[in-house]
Amino acid sequence: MKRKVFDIVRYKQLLLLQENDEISFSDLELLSFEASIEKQISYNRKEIYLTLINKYLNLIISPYEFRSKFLEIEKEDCRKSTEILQDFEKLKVFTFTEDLEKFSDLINEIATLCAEHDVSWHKTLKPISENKFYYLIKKNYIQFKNFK
Amino acid sequence: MSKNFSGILECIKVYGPIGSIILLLGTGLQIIFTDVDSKYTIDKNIQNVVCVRSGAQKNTNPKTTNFIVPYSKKSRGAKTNNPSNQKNQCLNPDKKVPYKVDPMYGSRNRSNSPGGGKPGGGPDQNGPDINRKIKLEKSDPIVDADVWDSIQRGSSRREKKRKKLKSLINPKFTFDEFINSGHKNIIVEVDSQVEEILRRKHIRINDEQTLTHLHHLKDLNVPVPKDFNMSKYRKLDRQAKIEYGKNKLPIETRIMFQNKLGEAVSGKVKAYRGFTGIRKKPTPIIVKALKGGYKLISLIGDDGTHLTSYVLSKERYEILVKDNFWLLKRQNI
Repeated sequence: MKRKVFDIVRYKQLLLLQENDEISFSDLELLSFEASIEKQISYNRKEIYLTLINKYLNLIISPYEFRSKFLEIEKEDCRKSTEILQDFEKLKVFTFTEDLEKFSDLINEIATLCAEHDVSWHKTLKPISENKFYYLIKKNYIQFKNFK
Repeated sequence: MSKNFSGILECIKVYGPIGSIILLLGTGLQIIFTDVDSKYTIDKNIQNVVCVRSGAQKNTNPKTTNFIVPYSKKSRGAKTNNPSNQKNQCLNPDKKVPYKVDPMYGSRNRSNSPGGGKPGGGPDQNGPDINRKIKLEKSDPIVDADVWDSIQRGSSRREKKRKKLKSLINPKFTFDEFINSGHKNIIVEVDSQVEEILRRKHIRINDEQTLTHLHHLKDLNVPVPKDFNMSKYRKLDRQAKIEYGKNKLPIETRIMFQNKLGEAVSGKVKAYRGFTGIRKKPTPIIVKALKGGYKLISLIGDDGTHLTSYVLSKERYEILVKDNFWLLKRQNI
């Protein structure tokens, strides 16, 4: 399988531009550099995600437990990526798998579902039902298994 | 029947036959006139106005039997002796005539009319208006010295409580308490970039609104009390969440959470024109970069009220930027 290498030179340039306030933290190029590390870490830990989803779908853990644990794992990935982003030696040798984007989309889909489940700032606004939530997770899980 | 008959016999024994006839006639007339006088009586137990037609003691005719008019706040003003209004007040439940309320009811300036501005005359017109606020003065003859002291003590207690609350609030923000509703708001002044997107200078962080988003306490490093059951809280509806939050969270924690939310929309932040819901409703979004690459996202309502704040990882923030800040795509907002 072909593996892409992290472009450390360009990343350093972007960091310099951000320091000089020439680009903001929402600059898409800089963001994609930062996010790519997190995506790869999530990909490397895909077994953990898969086990958690499996537990939820088999009703071993409650929906609340699933949602909070899923977001916790995602945060762990983010913490690890921050550590790597500060270590340029590690970044030099960091490589990416090919089907990373597809995998990342699935993780994001589930993470968004988990995070936005409880949003209700208005009387008329009700979170999606547990049944619908279960159905959507199951739909993503089928695609998720292809990455095994 | 037998009781009535024995009573008549006893009456004849005492007063004799002629005296008894006169006595019975007199009693009968008295009953009739008493009923005529008490046309309208209020049955306190069933909270209904019972309207008795004059002279009808025991009538089997459904057209002339007793009618019951619902006694509600709206119908209070219609309780009157004015004969012209009787058609509307006495309803026959069999006929199902719609009850008519004077359209002028409640529309007049109450303070200008002695009876609270209620039309139709009758006993309510001169009655006290419960909605009118009374401001007591010490010089007022009805004010007792002890009562006055207790009022003063109460207001000083409120003032002390308010001062204590004010001291908890981040000095960068303004404390605003609506006395009538009891809402405690924190007003945050925004910088020019945010103002351009929001089209207003201030963001209001409402205490009740924050109580509905306590599941983000951890995101903002606010300590969660041990007896606060988060899974139970998440299952509650909006109003129940507010009540649960009020009961379980000390006021210090609630204010701390409001302070943190205030910090999330102030300082080094960037505002974007975002969208929410399936209909892509334009919603201002304020982003603050946190340590470790996390981004703190805050959504602001049309009226400048802070709706919610939550943390996004680098990956999810990247998706959000790619989506032109379109959040809660599945929500029916």
